[in-house]
Amino acid sequence: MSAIVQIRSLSRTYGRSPALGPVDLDFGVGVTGLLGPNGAGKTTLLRILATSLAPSGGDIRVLGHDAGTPSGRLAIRRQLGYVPQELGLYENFTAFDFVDYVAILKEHVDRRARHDEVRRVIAEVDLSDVRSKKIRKLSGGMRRRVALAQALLGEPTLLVLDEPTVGLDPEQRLRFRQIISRHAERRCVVLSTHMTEDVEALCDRVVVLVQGRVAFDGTPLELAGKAAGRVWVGDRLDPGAAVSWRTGEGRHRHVGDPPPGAELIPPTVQDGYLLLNGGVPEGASA
Amino acid sequence: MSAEYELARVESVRLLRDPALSVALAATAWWVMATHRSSAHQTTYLLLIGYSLMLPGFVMVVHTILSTLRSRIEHTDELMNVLPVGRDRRTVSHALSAAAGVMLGAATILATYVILRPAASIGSGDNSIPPTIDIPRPNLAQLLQGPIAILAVLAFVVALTRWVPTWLVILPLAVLLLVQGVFLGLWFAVPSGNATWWFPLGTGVVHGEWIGCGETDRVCDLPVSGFDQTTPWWHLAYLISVAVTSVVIAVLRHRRDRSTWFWFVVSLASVVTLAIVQLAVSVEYAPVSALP
Repeated sequence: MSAIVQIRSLSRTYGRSPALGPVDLDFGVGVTGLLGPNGAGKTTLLRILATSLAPSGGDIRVLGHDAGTPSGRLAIRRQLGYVPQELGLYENFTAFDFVDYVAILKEHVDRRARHDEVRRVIAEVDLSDVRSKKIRKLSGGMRRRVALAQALLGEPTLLVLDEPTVGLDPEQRLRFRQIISRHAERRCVVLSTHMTEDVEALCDRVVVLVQGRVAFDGTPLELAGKAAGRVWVGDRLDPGAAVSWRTGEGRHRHVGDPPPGAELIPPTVQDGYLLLNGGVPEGASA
Repeated sequence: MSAEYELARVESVRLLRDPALSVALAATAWWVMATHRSSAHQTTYLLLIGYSLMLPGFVMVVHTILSTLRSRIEHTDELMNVLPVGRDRRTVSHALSAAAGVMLGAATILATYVILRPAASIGSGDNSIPPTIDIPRPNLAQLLQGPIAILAVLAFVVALTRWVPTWLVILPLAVLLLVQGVFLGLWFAVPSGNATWWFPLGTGVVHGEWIGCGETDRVCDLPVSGFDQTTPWWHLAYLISVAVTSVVIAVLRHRRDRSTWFWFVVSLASVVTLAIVQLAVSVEYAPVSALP
């Protein structure tokens, strides 16, 4: 995997509080999912990656451009698509006008070509029918898709998405996965999410951040493998389990250290994440 | 065409489509028509030298504040600040979009001129101008004063909004508007000093000898004695230099390279120079009682 993004000893502090790192990561072609609890440093990492936030230490390079220099940042921004966590849109603009406005700020100067590109990305996120509607009249999911549309403008080499699936209905999430996976065939996509099923379905790599540090870096299958032999089902609640919940089939699913003779089942990414996230230390019953 | 021009074009279109601007223009049209029917000479003069643009200009100011603050108000700074066209270049675009206001202002003045059809002498004073004084038809510089004042004011607003990125920008603007609209306009430059030329709209009124009204001359009367039609040409140059300086000051908020500082020094020097030139060339009558 050739690295599109190279991160070395990257750190960020807010005042005296460390928020991230130091971390070393490389991102190449494909989708990398960032998982982690609130405050783990996911958004901080993505904001640094998007050149919105300066790191306190370390280096970051995108396609060889140094994010520490103004010319490097400009070069990175020309190859970047970004959906921030705090979704602000121009409420009085139509969806088309907003994406067009962003397209101008992405230096798409030729009007006809730009409008073609705006129509393309709006169609890609399935908003063609409402492109002339004011953004304030769109639903939360539609607004998310407007944000995604602007990020897709110009087919950027690096796509940074901070919790992009929040507010999307299941159908739209499937559509989102389709769009992202298509883009990731030739480009680098880094997204943060709390939804492990998105990671499972979409990402070929997952990085788990805990307290600003990389706690795991591997494939979703490897993350799920962290919980191998530690997930079981039973007919009643097991007090020895670290995490338990009742499934739709009326049985109880447990994660932790199984009792002898437990009915073990294959683990998921979520199970691996739960174990990794400090909630269920290996070899200890909570 | 660069991204700055394209963005300025989009902002200009949004400005011209602002419904409030249409309302302001309708009110201005009513004012002009009412003046035409009443043949009010002083008001005719005021309308032609740019006062017909006060209301549309006010709407443009509010619109420009909102558009300059838009990314902040709508919480899109996080996204906008990582786009290749950064804040400094967006600032230039906001200032360039004032060109739409200039063109609209010029069209308004032209329409006002066509409707009011001023003769070489508009007429004698009918309010604060003595009836013995003819009010001349404004020359080209005076007719251009309103549109160019819009350019200067909108550029100033962009600079102010970049440095005070909140609604507090309204406060200094309200004071300036009050001074310009009330003291310098309706009462024909009550403050008689030539420094009134430092404000966007100069009336061109020249005050006559100061007549003392008491032993200490604390109360006085400054009768109007004529009109200065030379200084308006310098005033146009002054307004343009104010506009350029404002744009440079706005850009300095986010870009402080050597080139920007150079333009800041050059443009500021031109403002100061032209401000002084205006004082020097404008017609001034020394009060008799002030003479030794």
